[in-house]
Amino acid sequence: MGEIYVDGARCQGHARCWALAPETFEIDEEGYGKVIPGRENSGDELNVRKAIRNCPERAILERSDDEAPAKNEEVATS
Amino acid sequence: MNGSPSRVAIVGASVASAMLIERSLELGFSGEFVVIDSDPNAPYDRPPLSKQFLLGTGPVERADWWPESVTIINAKAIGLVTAQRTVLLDRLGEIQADAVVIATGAGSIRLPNEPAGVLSLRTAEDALAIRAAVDAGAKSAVIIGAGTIGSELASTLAQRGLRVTVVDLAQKPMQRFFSGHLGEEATAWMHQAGVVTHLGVAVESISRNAENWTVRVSGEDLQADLVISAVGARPNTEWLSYSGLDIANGIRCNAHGKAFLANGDVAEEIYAIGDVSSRQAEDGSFSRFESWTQAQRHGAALAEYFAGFESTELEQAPYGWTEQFGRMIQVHGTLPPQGELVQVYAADDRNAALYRVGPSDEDPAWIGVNAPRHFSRASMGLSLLS
Ligand SMILES: Cc1cc2nc3c(=O)[nH]c(=O)nc-3n(C[C@H](O)[C@H](O)[C@H](O)COP(=O)(O)OP(=O)(O)OC[C@H]3O[C@@H](n4cnc5c(N)ncnc54)[C@H](O)[C@@H]3O)c2cc1C
Ligand code: SF4
Repeated sequence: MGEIYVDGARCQGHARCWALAPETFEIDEEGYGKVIPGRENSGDELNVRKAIRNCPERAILERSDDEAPAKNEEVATS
Repeated sequence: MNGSPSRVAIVGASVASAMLIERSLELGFSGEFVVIDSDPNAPYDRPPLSKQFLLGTGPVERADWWPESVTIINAKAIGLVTAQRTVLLDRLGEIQADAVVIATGAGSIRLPNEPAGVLSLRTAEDALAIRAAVDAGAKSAVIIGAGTIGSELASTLAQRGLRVTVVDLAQKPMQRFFSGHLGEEATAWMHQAGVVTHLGVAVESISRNAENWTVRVSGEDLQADLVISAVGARPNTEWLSYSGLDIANGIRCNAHGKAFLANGDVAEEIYAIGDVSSRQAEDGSFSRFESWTQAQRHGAALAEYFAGFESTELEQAPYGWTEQFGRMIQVHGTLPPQGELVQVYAADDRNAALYRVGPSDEDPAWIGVNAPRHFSRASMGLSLLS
């Protein structure tokens, strides 16, 4: 699994990611999700996959290892 | 082990089928998928069509979640030779496979005697037509149907500055989504946004004079530039009329998604997933969902079934959501219509609330309004504090 991140422009705050993979995601007061710093590459892969599938905004993205890092999409990770 | 089929034909390039393919590939499926869809814009997600899409100017968002390796044949399925697992197409002939998965979803119900020009919303093309009408200067709309899609449309069009009137036979907005709960609250949201409601009344007629529409309800004439019908969806099964499958209300299937024939037998290697499927529960009853999340789960569960292992996908509690009038509304579980509704959290300055519905001892259902954090904790069975 590559590096996981939340596209802040897409995330609408369903908090599904946190409900399904709490060891990888956290959410702010409004419910917007982000990857817990340091957990971008770790965590229970099955749960992370479940979170990716269930995010209604398809805001959880995976950067494959060979892809260029961080475009301006990553606004959610403060 | 079921012995995974090696050539699978899928009718419908949808959320359910995308998940079937993606999960199968994850699980090492080495066969071939052949996907057919009649919508030239497919695949795309429908939920944004009544929400962000109508507020923006961009195209319908490209489905970056569709498995890249699988191409989609643009054709309409017009029949199924069930015993041969052969899908008949309107053009490009027919497709024979080891297994056929039906993921044709649902289509808008049209009103009886509905005149041409009444809009509705299920496809990208429908959404483009509504947006074009608003862009062209429509100032008012009558929306027939106050279900989730009708209510979301009311919210979005009011936000775009239209005078919006919502009409429904039901006494409450989103009566089905909320199982009869929160009717007063939802009506109040609409009124606060300036939306006029006519609830508990039938549409008597719809007529058009040049560009002006008149919708008659309870003897009153409602005038508008646009009329949108949002009275619900019915499963896309017309093309299966001669298939021998049981299509009473959607395709009846067992818990794995194996389709039943009208004579009660299971059809060999014919499956249905998503909105088009009606699933049998342990007590023998059938139920059909219209839910993005449930469609995904059907796809993932079938992939796991093909791979030969016990899937837990469909054991998860239902999850539904709608976004309207500045509110993100989430539902966890099945709301019992008779269940007691208790507000367990509220923050009025943010229009936020969390409601528990049903027995408090065992697995209650939850409704969250602008309260994703509390909602998620509650649905995980955690305490609401912290
Ligand atoms: C405007 C709108 C807003 C929505 N908002 C929400 C929401 O907020 N939350 C939520 O949970 N759900 C929502 N839904 C419902 C959700 O989109 C559906 O539950 C989901 O799309 C069902 O997916 P599916 O896989 O069953 O198939 P569908 O998405 O219905 O796709 C079926 C596909 O099959 C194709 N097809 C049909 N017949 C044929 C044929 N004979 N031959 C070839 N191809 C065929 C169609 O072209 C279509 O592409 C919304 C729906 C709409 C229309
Ligand atoms: S990433 Fe998806 S699931 Fe997580 S909070 Fe955002 S929208 Fe919700």
